[in-house]
Amino acid sequence: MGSGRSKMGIERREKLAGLLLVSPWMAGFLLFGIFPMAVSGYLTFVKWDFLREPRWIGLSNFEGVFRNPIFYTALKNTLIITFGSSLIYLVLGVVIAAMLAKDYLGANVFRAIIFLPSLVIGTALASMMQPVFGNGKYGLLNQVLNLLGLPYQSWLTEPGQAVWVIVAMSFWFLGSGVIIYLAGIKGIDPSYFEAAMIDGANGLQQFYKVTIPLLTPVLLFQSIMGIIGGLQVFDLALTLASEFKTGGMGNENSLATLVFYLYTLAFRDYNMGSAAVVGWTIFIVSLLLSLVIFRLSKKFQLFGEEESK
Amino acid sequence: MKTMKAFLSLSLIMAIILVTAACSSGNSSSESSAGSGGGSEAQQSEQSKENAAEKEVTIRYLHWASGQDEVQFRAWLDEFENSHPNIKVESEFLPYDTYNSKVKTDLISGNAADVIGFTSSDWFAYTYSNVFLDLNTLPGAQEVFGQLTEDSVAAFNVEGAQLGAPTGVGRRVPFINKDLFAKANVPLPSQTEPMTAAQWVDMMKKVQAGLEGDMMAANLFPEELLYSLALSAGSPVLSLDGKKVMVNTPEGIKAIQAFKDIMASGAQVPILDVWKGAYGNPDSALTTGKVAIGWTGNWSLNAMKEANINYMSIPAPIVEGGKVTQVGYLNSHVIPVASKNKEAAWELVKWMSSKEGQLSFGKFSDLPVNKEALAETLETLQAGDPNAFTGFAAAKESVVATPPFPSDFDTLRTGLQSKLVSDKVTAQQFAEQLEKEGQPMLDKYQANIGK
Amino acid sequence: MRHKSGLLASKIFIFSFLALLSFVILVPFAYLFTSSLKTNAQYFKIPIEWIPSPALWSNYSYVFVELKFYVFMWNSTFLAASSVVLSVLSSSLIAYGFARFKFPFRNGMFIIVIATMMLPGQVTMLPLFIYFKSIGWLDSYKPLLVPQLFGSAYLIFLIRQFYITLPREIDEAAKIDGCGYLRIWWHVIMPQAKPVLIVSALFTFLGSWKDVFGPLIYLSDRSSYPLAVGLLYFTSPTYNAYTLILVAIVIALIPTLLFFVLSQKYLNKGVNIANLK
Repeated sequence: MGSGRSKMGIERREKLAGLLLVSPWMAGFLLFGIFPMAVSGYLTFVKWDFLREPRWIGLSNFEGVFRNPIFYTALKNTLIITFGSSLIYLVLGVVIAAMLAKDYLGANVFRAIIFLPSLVIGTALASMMQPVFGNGKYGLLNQVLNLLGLPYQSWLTEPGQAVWVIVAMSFWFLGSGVIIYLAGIKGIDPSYFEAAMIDGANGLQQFYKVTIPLLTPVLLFQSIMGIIGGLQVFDLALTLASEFKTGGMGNENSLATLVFYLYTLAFRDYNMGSAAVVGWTIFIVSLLLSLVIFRLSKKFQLFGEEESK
Repeated sequence: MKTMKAFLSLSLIMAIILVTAACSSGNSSSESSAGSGGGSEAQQSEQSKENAAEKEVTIRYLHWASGQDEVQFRAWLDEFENSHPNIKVESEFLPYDTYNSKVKTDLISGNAADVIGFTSSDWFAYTYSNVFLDLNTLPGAQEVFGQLTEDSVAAFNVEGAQLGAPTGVGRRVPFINKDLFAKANVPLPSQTEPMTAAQWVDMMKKVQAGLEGDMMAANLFPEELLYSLALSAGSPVLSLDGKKVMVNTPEGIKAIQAFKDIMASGAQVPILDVWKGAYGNPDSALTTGKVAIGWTGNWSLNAMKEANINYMSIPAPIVEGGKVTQVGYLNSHVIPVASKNKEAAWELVKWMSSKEGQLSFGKFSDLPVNKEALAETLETLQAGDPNAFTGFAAAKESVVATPPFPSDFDTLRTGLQSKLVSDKVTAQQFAEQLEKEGQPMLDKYQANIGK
Repeated sequence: MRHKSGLLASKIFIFSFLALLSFVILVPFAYLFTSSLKTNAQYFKIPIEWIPSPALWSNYSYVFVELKFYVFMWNSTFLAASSVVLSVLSSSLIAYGFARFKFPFRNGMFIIVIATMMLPGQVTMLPLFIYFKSIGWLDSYKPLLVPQLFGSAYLIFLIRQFYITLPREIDEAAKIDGCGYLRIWWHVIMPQAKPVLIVSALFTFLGSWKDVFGPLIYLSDRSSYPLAVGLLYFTSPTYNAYTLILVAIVIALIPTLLFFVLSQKYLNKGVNIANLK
């Protein structure tokens, strides 16, 4: 039409503008992503406490970390917390959201009660839970057990048990997921439910024939975020462990998580090399778990789409 | 046009960040290798200009303390300021829990205070880091350190370099609540003659039987109990330098068994609740009014007086036929190499080690290390409050500083202690496992901090 | 209609389930609150006094004023508010670039945005610490705030997803009127994107408010701690004043309540956006 030249100009201008607009992110990605990752890779091969010069020690850091039983305790605890809390977030979260989606008596109140604790600072929640899971006759939960005629438990000090307290705490953080599922459910076209009702589906059948399949993308996203979050649990463990005089990670390291271990190595022992090895472990574990979820979700999504179409 | 302007300014910001990043990282690397970079030198000269003008130096002081301790430490520094009008001391106090990480971060970032307090075991981690000034290079060092007890000075000497000035010896002993003993109808123990572990268990059980409701006979300090029993058996848990696990001997196992007997007597607060709960912690146990025997030092005296506790110190238990020995903490002050006010900092350290400073120190904190001040302090303390201080006297001559150890070793030992008390391991297994699993931890730690 | 009795039964079941869950969730809060009004001696009394007498309201003023708890509160608020401004503005601008402009490698870059969103930051934590240490930023808020200038992957994703749903006609028209891109972004796009921006702000605020790791490693001065870290090291002058620590926790909860009330209105809209695929 004769305006070809100016069109070209506009296109070029747009190209440039777009690149400039996203350039801060690119710079951030290089500055706070790629470059530190490269340095982190280098750190795994050196011994460095910040005070003296870094010294190349080859694979010794890997050997030191992977031979240390504390690492495996931390890994095991992290996986327990990740799967335990993800399960609670996903299964219980969706079920509760579905329940709250039906508008009836008190739904708003329940919604507020379930949502509110998820806004609480982790360290605050953990320190308020300490007396609840306290030892002996002073622990609130133990007093309940006592009423039921059950023996006292050492919730936080019995090795292998403390980590389940952290899993249990995810009940209090359920709300953030519930709110998202709730919005998702409310966003579902009511005609799907009506159609299911006409087919004679009851509430439960509606839930897994309509709600779940249509919610799959949200579930996928949330489960990945949940796993990333679970792998990074730190504040709860740190707070619960601060009970102990040793400055360690709980009685016999029972509250060790990967991030807690990284923190201890880096900022209590100032062993940068070993800490970097743990950092990479966290990275690789979350990469693997995300990939697994993507794989699984592809399968599920297929079923979901069939159902919904 | 406007767009371009905004983009330009954005990229400018980034460029600035990149440039400053590049410059300052170069700077700091030279700082860490040479001890002082261009930037700090510039600051130093600026500072000295200021000094010349005002003739007044401000130094920064860092120590652990909370609550009342903080006030008393400050009063001590005020005393120094009064006698040195041209030096101002800016002080910061932190609870001990956070203290060490703060110190480390400060030392790393080159932003440390001019005078820093250290316990000997925390100080040990920096032995070969070259971050502390060799005090022997400062004027009058020989004189100052000559007045202090030889052991305490030697503890901070690394191959001739005096990397810290000892200031005090912190010691804990068992303290009893005399009223609760009377209530339980148990005769008061001797303040000078230590009892054996078996006699202790007997006493604790009797006290427990005579107490009402949810009171507890004892909240003892597990680590120190174990360490001092092992010392009395002549087979300490760790060697003095913290390099070897020494407790795996027949005598050591006897001490571990004695420890177990006391902790599992049923009259002691459960070992995992020692630090928090209704019975306070070993230091605060008596002030709760619910515990008949605690384990603390003279720093708790004021709190106990405020709570109207009728207290008395007694010697720690020993193994059958063992000698009286006690665990202590050597506390010290260091001047970082990076300090910009070394002269003024040295003035403060000198004053702290002097008889005058030490006498004041002994009034609110640990026992002094200045020989004259120590003798005088002990005398006045004992005369002024025999209930508080006679119990310390039993082990006057044989205080052993706790050796340094890494935190994973601490976790291992604490875990074993609770396993021992709940019958999951025997005394012999305790000693074996501590040696087998703990020795590699010590070796690794020593290799890490060593040259 | 056919399942009327079944419906009622399921309603009762759902109601009691939610009631029980709410009860369990609330009990620790109730326990926390009553305990915060007690002395140590009252606190350790068994059975528990659910309504303490006397109730020590003075605990609150003591912690807030005497123990200077308001300092932590202010630090948290400052950090969170600054994060919101920096992060939302920069992310929104970057999202505008991704949503409205065609440029080489756009899709590839956007995939990287999504990928970084899903990967944990611990690998980069140590080098960043070393980096910020070397430029002398330790013990300041700079390491916590400056990176926000470069946008957050999560927000970029969220906002971009919203921008692409906005009709292009208006900004095309603005372009013909001769508006610069930045003005279009500020005057045309941003006003339309209010819901997503508010949600982004809420998320960022909450993220910063709850963060422990960053402040813990970068700050060592007690007076600069935000709430989340301050609570951890909250010590009272007298040994083992347990109930004062509980008071601190209660005080730390109050902003959460305010936040909830303020955010209620937008949250429903917001999470709908979060669900956009």
